[in-house]
Amino acid sequence: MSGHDHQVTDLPLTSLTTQCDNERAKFRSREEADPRFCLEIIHRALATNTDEAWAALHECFYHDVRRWVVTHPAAPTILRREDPDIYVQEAFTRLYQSNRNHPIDVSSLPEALSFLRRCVNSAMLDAARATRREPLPLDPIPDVPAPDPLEPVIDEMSAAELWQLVEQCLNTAQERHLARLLWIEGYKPREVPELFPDEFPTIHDVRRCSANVVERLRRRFRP
Amino acid sequence: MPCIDPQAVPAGALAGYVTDPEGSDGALRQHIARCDACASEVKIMTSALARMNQRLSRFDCPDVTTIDAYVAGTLDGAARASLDAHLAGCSRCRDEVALTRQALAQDDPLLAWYGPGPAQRAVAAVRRLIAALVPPEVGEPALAVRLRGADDAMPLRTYAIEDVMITIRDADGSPATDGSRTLDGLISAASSPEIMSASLPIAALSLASASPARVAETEAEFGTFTLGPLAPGHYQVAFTLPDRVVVIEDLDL
Repeated sequence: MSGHDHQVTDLPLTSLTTQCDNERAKFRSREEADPRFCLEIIHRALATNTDEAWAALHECFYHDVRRWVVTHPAAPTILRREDPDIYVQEAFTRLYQSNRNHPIDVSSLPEALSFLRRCVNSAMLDAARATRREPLPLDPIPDVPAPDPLEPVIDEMSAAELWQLVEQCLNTAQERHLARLLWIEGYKPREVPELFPDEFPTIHDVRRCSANVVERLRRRFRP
Repeated sequence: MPCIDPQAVPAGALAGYVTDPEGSDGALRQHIARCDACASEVKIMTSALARMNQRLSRFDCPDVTTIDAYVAGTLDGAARASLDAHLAGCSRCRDEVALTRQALAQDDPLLAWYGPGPAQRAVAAVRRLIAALVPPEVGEPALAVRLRGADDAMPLRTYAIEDVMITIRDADGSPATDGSRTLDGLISAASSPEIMSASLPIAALSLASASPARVAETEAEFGTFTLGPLAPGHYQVAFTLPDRVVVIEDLDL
């Protein structure tokens, strides 16, 4: 470590934050700029885990993380209903948790920021998964009081056990593929012919195939 | 509570209704609206399917950090092979891999801000070496040069200079629909190219093309790297190692 690096590591957070801002302004102006102040803020947060260091990191890189959130390819879907700041915060939380589980060792600002951008990506992918998992509104049917005898049966099984049981009701590779698409991957029946036109040319093929499986499942669960 | 008109409900009709209510015929809809028994059955089946859907949703898919690590090239061989096998049968995960590639390929000058510090200035003075393409051995099995066996897969390429060996492969086994390819690879000490611990640390990785607008993202970590997606063309790749810069001058796709 050079003498100058010693000076950087000795600086208080407030000075680092100021210097980081100054150097970033130079960098934006295409002047010669020193990234070590910004990198030291990240090092400080990762190494000390203090609230002050994390607040400084947040302050310095909030706008970058927000930019990555709003320009993420999944943003048009996710941010229709949510504030980008939720995912900004989530990205910083993921960086914190990742460092807590396995201390992160970064030697350059690009390396550190690439890691932070990957935290944004993970947060956005998880959000996209959660969006698809939300139950669809059911088709309106008469409000008939009916006990749900299948609830305890399904809830007692693990997902793997449940899928094993479903698989026992699948007779062909086509049925297996469709069951996976509908119940594991969460596609709507009408999306399937668009995605796999060779296997399911029309919605009627999807309907017929899935109805066969559902009927078998019905008999299996409710003999 | 029996059905009021069993003839109106052929075998499997309720299952079909539950699967896709919008696609059901009007007569069946009207019957369900009038028949408490069938309405009750539909409710139970709909509720069960919704519950099953919730429980099974992506249950066997890797978590998103694994997808991210796959694209970043930081998964080890076994985990990568396992994910490759999963990707072959899971279109949602394939979509997430594509989204991640797209997200990480977005250009951001900050991610290239190494600055003018002493370390970076020293890098500028290190030796620059041109790696040469090593021809595949005569009689090498097709499997070894054509990963995953796709007919349109780019053959595995090996470049070498001094003790440095760089292997590059077609990460997806075939080009995307727009003709672009994503490549991944390993830079290692030539004496033991298969051993991960012999990987050489990449301080920086840069990609250049005659068509700058088409240059895509690079990622490098622990001796592994990812390039792309890359449109067909001619590229130059520079690996900055602690003591030298190794360049592939003619990466043709």
